[in-house]
Formats: sequence, C-alpha cells, structure tokens
Amino acid sequence: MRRGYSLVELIAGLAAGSLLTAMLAATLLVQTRMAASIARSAESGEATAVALAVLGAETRETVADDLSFGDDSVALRAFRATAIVCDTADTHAFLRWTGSRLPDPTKDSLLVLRYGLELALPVAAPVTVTHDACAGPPAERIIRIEAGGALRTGDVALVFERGSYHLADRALRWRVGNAGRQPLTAEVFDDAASGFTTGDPAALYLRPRTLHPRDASPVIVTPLPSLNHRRDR
Amino acid sequence: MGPTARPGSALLIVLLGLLLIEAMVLGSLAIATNGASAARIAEQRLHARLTAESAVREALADWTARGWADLDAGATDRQTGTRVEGGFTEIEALGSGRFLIRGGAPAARVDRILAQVLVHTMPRDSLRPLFDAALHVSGTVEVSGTSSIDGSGTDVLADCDVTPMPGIVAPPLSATLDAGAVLQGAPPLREAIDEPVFALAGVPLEDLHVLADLIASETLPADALCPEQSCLAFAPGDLTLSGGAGQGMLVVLGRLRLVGDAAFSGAVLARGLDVANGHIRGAVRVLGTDSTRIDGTLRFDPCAVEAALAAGGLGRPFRRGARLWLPAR
Repeated sequence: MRRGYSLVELIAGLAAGSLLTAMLAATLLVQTRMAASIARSAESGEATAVALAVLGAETRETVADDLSFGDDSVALRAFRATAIVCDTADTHAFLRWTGSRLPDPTKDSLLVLRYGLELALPVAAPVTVTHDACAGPPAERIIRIEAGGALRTGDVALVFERGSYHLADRALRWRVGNAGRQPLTAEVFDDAASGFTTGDPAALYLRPRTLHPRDASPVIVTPLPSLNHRRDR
Repeated sequence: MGPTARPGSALLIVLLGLLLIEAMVLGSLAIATNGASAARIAEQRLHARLTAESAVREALADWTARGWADLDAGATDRQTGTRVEGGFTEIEALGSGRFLIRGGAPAARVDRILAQVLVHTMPRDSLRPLFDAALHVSGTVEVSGTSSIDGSGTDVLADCDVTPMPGIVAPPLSATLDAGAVLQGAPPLREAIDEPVFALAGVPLEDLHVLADLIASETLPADALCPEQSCLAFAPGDLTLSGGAGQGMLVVLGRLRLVGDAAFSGAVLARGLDVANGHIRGAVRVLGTDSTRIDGTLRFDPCAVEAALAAGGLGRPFRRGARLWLPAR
C-alpha cells in the first residue's frame, strides 16, 4: 500500500503553486507591457528624429517664397538637385547635374538664379549624355534638356519639385501634386498636439502618442530657421 | 518513490521566465545602442554641416585677400579651411562675375559638399570702358574760362600704361567752352551719343551701396573719402565735396558738386556734375542728361582709374535677393 499525501500537504502545495503561477503571470504581464512601451518609445523616437531631420533639411536654405505653412502642413519647393549650365547648342542646354536623383520631367522644375531674377523653367526632355565641354567632378552627371534658348552658359539653377509635408493621421506624410500622402514615419504622433506654427522662425511641434495617458510625453518644439532668413547671413 | 524524485515543471517555468527577462534586457540594450548610434551620426552630420558653412563664411571673408575675383570663367579653386578644421571650399568661376562657393567637410569618411552660396562680383573689365575720357557726359557741358580739361594722360602720378583719351566726350553740339578754357586730349572733344546708363555690369546703380566701403551724404570734405587707400564711396543722393582731397571710386546717384578747392583722384560716376572750384584726376562719367558745369581742372589719369577700380568694395562678392545659401545635398 502506497503512502498518500495528507490534506495539509496538498493545500500547501496548491497554495505554493498558485503563488508561483501568480508571480510568473505578473512578471509576464509587466514584461509584456514594458516590451510594448519600449517598442513604442523606440518607434516614437525614430519617427521624431526622422521628422526633425527631414523638415530641418528641407527648410534650411529656403526663402520665404519657397514655403507656405498651414496648421498641420507645409507646402514647399523641395530641393532635388543643382544644375550648372555648362554649354548650349541651338535650343538645348547641357547641365552639370548634382543631386539625389536624375531628372524627372513629370515632377521637376528649374529655378534659374540670375542677378535680381529667378526664372522658372520646366525640365523638358532630359537625356543623360557625355559632352566634352562639361567636364566636372565624377559625382556630376551631364544632362541635356530642351530649354528653348532660355539658358546661358554659366547659369546656376536649382531643381525643385513641389510638394507638401503633412502631420496627419498620426504620421509625417509627403505628398507630390495630387498623389496620395505617403507616410515617412510610423503612425505615432498625436494629431491634436502636433503641427506647425508660423512666425520668424516657423516652428514644428510634435507630441508622440503613448500607450497610457499618464505617460504622456512632452511636446517637442523645434524652430525651423532658414539660413537665408537670419540677419547674419 | 518520494515527491523529490518525481518530474516537475517549476524549473522549466523559471528558466523560461529568465529567458524572457534576458530577451527584454537585450532588446532594451539593442534599442538604446541603436539610439546612441543614431544620435552620434546625427551629431557628426550636424558638425560636418556647420563646418562646411563656416568654411564658406571663411571664404567670403577672405575673398579679396585670396584674389578669387580674378579666377577665369570655368576655373575652380579648392582650399582647405585655415580657421575651420576639416572644412574645405571650392570656388568655381561661372563667368560674368558670378561665383559658386561650395563648402564641404568630411562626413562618413567622404568629402561632401554640404553648403553652397552663389555670389556676384563687379567685373573690372566691364567698368574700364566707362572711363574713356577726362569727362564723359550725356547732356550739355559748360566749361568756364579758367578751367582746364586734359585727356592726354600726361603727367600721371604713377607708372602705368597711358593711352591718350579725349578731353570731353559729349553729344553733338552740347559742349560750350568759354574763352580761355583749356581743352586737350586725343581728340580734345569727341562727339558721341550714349544710351542712358542705369546699371554697371548688370548691377543697377542703386544696388552699388551693398559694395560700398563708405556711404556719403550731403556735404563733407573730400578727405573724408578714403584718405589713405582707394575705396568705393557711394552717395545715394546729392553730394558736395567741400574741400580737402580724396581718392577711390565715387558713385553719386544725385548731383556731385566740388567746392572750396576740393580734389579727388580716381573714377567718378555721377548723375550730375557741378565743379564750382575743384580738381579731379582720373576720369569722370556723368550718367544723367542734366547740364554739367566745370570751373576747375579735370585731368585724365589711367593710373588713378586703375587704382580706383582696385578699390576694396568693387572686388567684394555680393548677392541680390533673398537667396544666398543654396541647398546642397
């Protein structure tokens, strides 16, 4: 005959087991919440850093005519490349092109900078070519465009595309023309507490959302000063 | 078989819990490390950008000393910053007095252009043709009997090439010389009809104030204008030089009067001229069509003109409009 457990032993065992289970469950719950919080915090930090970096870079060398602020958006000429006219032939112009991408005639326009004058032109029929008169650094491409004779050798042009940044639906979004607003960040911002203020300089304010209201993060306010607006330029 | 000998699950559960905790700790550590790395990269980028902007500012400050205004069109000069560690600049002459100054700094082990400005300068070659006589007027000119106007270029004060010029260039039948007035030059009087001049090398006269070393107004002695070295003086309205001696390039948007035996050496551009008792050595161009009156001496001196065109302000880079800093990415 085998010996059995007494009732006391059974109750003690059940109590100890229940306690251990409760402790493990609590630990698991806390760890899960902590994991979610850390993940959200990391996501918010990354989104905030991206928003500050993108908008800071886009507005750094602007002039007043390049920007138009709304409460939750900024419409702007977004810089994409620098083009130096190195030669002309008939109605064509050859450009030394330095930029983040090659020309896109559906999006881009040239802003030719002359003394006291800014001349806007389309980037028409761009073709990548080689041209002896346009030797430049290796990073430059030589682009031939149809300019209608409007460009002169030595002209400097900035290549822009028009678009707008929006702080909407909890993310920073970029929109070109009539296209949809493409998210650049995770959807972590509090729409009601994020946006733009006009002024000199204009400012961006952001508040990342948190899992619990009691953990509400402070509003991050960052001026968007332009080098061309400052007095010491 | 006792209870201690039976298989249990507590150890496994504890080990799993420990594994979970370790995963959390490692995850947090990875996130923190990534954050620190991102912050360090952002700081390096910011430092590189500020270095590049400082290098550009250094180039602007050193512009005259470096002689970049004399770069041939299409040429590029690369300089490492002398006061900005790690920064460098590339100055490219675009022609017609335009220059692109690009500043860079090492970022992610690559020399990157991070800032650029477009500036204009006043090409001296475009100014020399304006000073082609002792006196060049677009309206009438009256010369008193005690005056002397000499374009021959003799008796210059320095060693320079001299090509004799007319004493007066004026529209046909617009010059009146009283008896006793001395007019010399090659020829003494040349008749010419000029288009009105509103700009120099494409720069409106009104904008020259941005280059000026000195803004002059109303009445002042000539020796208040650059007494020690040639400079660019700009008067936004009428100006009276009441005595003394000055030098340099003088641009007067109103009427210039010389009284009290005032003397000026250099190049003068004025909308109107009235020499009541004064002396100018160099060359004078009157841009307006109002009557010009001379009671004094005007002597063409190409050395004085060249010294005036080398005035500090004329070689200074400048911009017009709001856009100086251009994006560079």
